Amino acid sequence: MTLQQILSMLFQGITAASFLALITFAIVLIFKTSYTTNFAQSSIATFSAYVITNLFVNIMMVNNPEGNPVMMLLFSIVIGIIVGFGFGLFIDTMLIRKSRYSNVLTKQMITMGMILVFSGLFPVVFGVYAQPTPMPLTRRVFELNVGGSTPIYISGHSLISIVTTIVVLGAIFIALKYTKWGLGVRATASNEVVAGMMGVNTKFITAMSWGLAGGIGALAAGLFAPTVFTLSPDLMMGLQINGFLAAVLGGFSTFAGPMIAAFIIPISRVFAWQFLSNEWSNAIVYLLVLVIILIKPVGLLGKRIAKKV
Amino acid sequence: MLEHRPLQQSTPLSTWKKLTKHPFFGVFLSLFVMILIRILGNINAIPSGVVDVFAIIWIYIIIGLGFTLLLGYTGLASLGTAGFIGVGSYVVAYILGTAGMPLIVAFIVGIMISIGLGTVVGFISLRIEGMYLAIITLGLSEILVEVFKFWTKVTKGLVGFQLDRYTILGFAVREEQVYYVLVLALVLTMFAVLNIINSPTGRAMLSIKNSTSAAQAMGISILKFRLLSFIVSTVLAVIGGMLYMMYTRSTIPNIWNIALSLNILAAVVIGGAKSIWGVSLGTIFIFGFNQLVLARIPFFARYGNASLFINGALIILVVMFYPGGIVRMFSDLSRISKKAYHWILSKVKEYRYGPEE
Repeated sequence: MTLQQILSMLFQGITAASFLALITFAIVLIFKTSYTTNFAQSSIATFSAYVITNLFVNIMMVNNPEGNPVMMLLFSIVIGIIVGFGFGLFIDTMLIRKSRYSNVLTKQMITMGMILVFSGLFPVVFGVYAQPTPMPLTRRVFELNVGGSTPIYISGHSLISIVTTIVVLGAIFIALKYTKWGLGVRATASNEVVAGMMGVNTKFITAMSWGLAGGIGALAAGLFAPTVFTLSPDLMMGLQINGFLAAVLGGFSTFAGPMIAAFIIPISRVFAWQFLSNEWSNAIVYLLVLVIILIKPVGLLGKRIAKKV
Repeated sequence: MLEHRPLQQSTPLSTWKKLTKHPFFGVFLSLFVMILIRILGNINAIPSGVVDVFAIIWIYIIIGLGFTLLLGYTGLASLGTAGFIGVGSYVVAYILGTAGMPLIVAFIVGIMISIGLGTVVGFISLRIEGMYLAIITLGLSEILVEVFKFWTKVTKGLVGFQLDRYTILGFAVREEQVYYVLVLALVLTMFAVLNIINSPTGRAMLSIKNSTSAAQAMGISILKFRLLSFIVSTVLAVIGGMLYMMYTRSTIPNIWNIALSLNILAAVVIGGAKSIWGVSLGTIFIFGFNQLVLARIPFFARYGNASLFINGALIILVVMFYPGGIVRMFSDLSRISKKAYHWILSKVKEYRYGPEE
């Protein structure tokens, strides 16, 4: 095992982690402000990926073949993010808030119902056939020489994904820490009733969190879709399941824990794939995560919350 | 002073009314309906595809009845159901198909495996609660699906396992006979679950759902009842999987996914999680509505999955505005109709005898 191999595996793991980190953040943001797990996260993201691809391939490239593809793609991604934002907002303001009886199970059931709604929408809106996803931003593959016989190959798309993830999540973490909105989110997360009494507009905070989560999911889907080459209705389902596991592994009670877990899981999967077994790498990682959670139920960074009886 | 009452005559009508009040009346009624569907299928009154849909629904009702003990009574949400069903299907596939042993061995092995799995998850549930438990069981289910995919020696991998026609005690078994086995299994499950929920065990489970601390203070062992409900629900899920394999004779890893677990959860919640009739109606609704009703409309036939939209929208509406579930609707309807009847009666009286002073 040479340094090159280890580095290129690490790079693979970090690329996978960059998609997972976005989805995990979206799940945790909704959990912290609304106390529910959003099962429709992957469906919203997949819908946005369909919107981005169709807008770019079927509308923009057809109507304006001489235009700059990068600008058109960026425009499509922005539209996709807006669509994701809108769906997130819709679930919170039109469904969850309007429901007559609201508890944890109700909210979860509404998001599960949304999965079915989206599964019904995909064939009607976008057709029944699988669509290929172009990768127009960059097809370049960089070679990085770290002193050895073979260089490390780094694909431009992975680099873009990693940088985007770091920039977006970094901006959001800074906003959480230093802006008034971030303070509101943290106050709502710690206690919604008390935050409301202190003058925080918790409804606005919750709605914005849902919208933001939808938008982040759309961004993740837009970055992830070209790496699997075809669109399918369960494009993001695997990422969502991993996101849930990462959120539990890191501990739902903090923002940083799930992010760390979102990097641990894909990287350990790549290493398990290489060193232990090609086929069983997923199962090994899941088992490991389950064992860690059993030993430490609150997660890696979580704190035990005392419950009032 | 004692009032002298005439002896009540037992007319056929009063006997019938007494019968309908019996707790097991509904079970016998559903037994009758299930056998009627098969007979109608035999005389080609309804197409055999519809009978197949119903057979699968009966299997999911068995699984849902196990799940309702977990969700509606002990208050534990699990998303591992699909994985457990898959285990059952592969146990039958391997033991009947590859090992060539009789079906009874498959059932013994399957039930032993399911008791083991249920115990493991039950112990996990002692440490982890609520949404965490749902996610952990989801992870467990994912591990099981990985096993189905890659343990190719036993499961034949991604292409799935097709079982040839098999024999029990020398008889070649056809779908029709398996249908009656399904019906028998469902009726037995209904009896068992009805008995559990109307016994001290069921009440102990309900008290754990309402407040763990209060239940503990009353001397109810959380360990015992959580384990019990997990074991019962896992055993029923695995039995459901075995029956599924016996009926369809094919299994493939991709169908035992999170969507199936979510659908079972939705069926239980929409029907009404505390009543076995609610679970049955919810399951018929979730798994039957799109295949039996919507598939006949050309628009939905063309777009395949489009009927899921209606399912999802109805789930959301029921959860938002009618959390008692479908089973609540019946009691509400009877109350409303009684009210309407009395109102009409009073209006008629008013018309005949003039308004009351």
